[in-house]
Amino acid sequence: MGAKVTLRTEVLPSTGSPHRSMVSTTMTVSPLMVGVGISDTGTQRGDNQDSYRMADASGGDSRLRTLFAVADGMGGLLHGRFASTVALQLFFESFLRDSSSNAERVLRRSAEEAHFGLQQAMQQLGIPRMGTTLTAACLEGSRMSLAHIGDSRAYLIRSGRAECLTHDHSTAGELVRMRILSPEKIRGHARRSELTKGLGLGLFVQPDIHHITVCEGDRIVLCTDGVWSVIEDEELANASAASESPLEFGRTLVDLAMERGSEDNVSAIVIHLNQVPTEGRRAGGLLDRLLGRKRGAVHAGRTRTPADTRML
Amino acid sequence: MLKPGDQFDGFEIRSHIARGGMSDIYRAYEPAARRDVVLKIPDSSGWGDPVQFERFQRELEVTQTLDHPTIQRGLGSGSVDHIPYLVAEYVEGRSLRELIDSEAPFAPPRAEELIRKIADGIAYCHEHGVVHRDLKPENILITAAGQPVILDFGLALTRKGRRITYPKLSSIAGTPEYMAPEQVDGQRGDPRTDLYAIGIIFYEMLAGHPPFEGDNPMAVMGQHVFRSIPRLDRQEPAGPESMAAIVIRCLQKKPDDRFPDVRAFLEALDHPESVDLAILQTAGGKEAADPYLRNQVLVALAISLGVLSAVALLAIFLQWVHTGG
Repeated sequence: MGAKVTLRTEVLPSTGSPHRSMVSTTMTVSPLMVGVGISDTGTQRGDNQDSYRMADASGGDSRLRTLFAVADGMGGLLHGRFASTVALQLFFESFLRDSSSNAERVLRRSAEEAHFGLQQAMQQLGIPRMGTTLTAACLEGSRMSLAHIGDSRAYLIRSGRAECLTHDHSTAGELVRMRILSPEKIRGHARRSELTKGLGLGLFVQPDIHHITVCEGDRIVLCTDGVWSVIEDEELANASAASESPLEFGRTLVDLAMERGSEDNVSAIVIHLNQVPTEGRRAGGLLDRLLGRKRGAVHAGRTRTPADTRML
Repeated sequence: MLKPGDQFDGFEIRSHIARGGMSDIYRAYEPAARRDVVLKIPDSSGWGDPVQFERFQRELEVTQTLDHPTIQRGLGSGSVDHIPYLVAEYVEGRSLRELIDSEAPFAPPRAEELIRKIADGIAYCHEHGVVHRDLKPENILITAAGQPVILDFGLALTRKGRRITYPKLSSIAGTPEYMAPEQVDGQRGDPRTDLYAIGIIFYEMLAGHPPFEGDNPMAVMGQHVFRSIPRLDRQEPAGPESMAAIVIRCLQKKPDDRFPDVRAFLEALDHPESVDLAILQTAGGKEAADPYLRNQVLVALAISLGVLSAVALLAIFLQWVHTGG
């Protein structure tokens, strides 16, 4: 049984405004998983500074590996969108160049390359301040590796419960980590968005790396703060339970965030795991290669970019 | 960034004063009015950000509404290519931060005179429905005549104002030395939040340093919540007990335990003989439980116990081997 990867992009009407639309991308890795990315400008901002991407990142050794990431850019009208788009492009290009390496190592190095790439762009273009969050998930068999920096989040939804897998790199997030602030107060905190870490910010970048064992039926959500700031963890689990497909779930999240008056752009990737191969080996990988299936086809939230796209 | 001599919407840039928050602040000349003014222009990272725009609108509204010698006067606003900017009166002076860094600790009469003027301006703001919420020596200029002038109302809370969150790119945690415990907790704050900052500034002028310091801004915030204030009358140089008691009252963790308003604080300064000195007993005493520190201590204890147990087991094992087990 070979894993077949297909990508489809749709433009859906936005709940936020009848004049706007939201982009949705579905990556199906049949029969193993479905990943859906969805992004909307929202009602408060003039532009969408969020980006998302997903890719078949399988290496040359027949292991099936998929990579998903969301990024929330900052730097004002001119540079916020640029920061998140460029960071994801650099991150994916770096990852796909060496996708057969150890997941932790390649995630870390790809985040560093994206960070230094952003800093270089700032220097060359004379941009005073620009940065982005990055929350990326690399799935390989039953193992999921997360790379995380900033205040976007990754959730695991299992058995009707949503568990946040990441720690917010914001002033309020640090206060929670130090047990100065109780976690339930973070959504309403004035310093919820004030970042302590981000790609492009500071001299060096140290993403948090987590490894999680995933099971059949799990759903993973990567989302920007436009989503989680107005939706409680329990509501996230309930919305998942009420949605049959990942697309329906993603759409529900965006609509709910709009309804609640989210002040930011709203973006999420929902991954539904139908099956989990035990060893991360791509069944029929050799056959796939003989049939000439390209590896590393990347799909971004806004632009489709092949893996061999030249760096900016 | 604009350079001296550049023209900006009819103003001639004289110098770049500072970068505050996400804006650049310039001294400029306004030929039409033949005066120097301050221009506050957001840097490109804030363009298109509704939060930044709201901060600008609020600052303009507040500074144009208030009229007090202690408040920097707003003169107007404009926009160039849809980028808004603010115009405010230019005040010649040194910041209270510079004065504290070079001359503190101040003699108690000097500190009292300055804090009275600052508190009077803040009381005026509160009476007009404005809470500053970001009072710190960096935001207070002292003119050559010794008049404090309070700047930067970008975070001010007004009666109608909606909640403003800090943008992602704002400098990490600002200046946590002046944050009230309720601000650390994420609450909007009220006039007693400004009273707490007044207490910290008063303390710093008298002691030469704020009560809570540290390299990590979060740890400083934690101290506001969990640590008790050191007694000023036991510092070097020791301040008068009544003044120490007034400061401690301003710096109570719960807003309800502070003076009810800034006027009550000024009244206490007018009548030091009637200040209740018993409040000094609450200062510098037993620390409130700090869960972060407590956790660290528990971890250290657990590790120590683990190491001791391992050594004991090893000793027993060696003894057993030695005795021929």
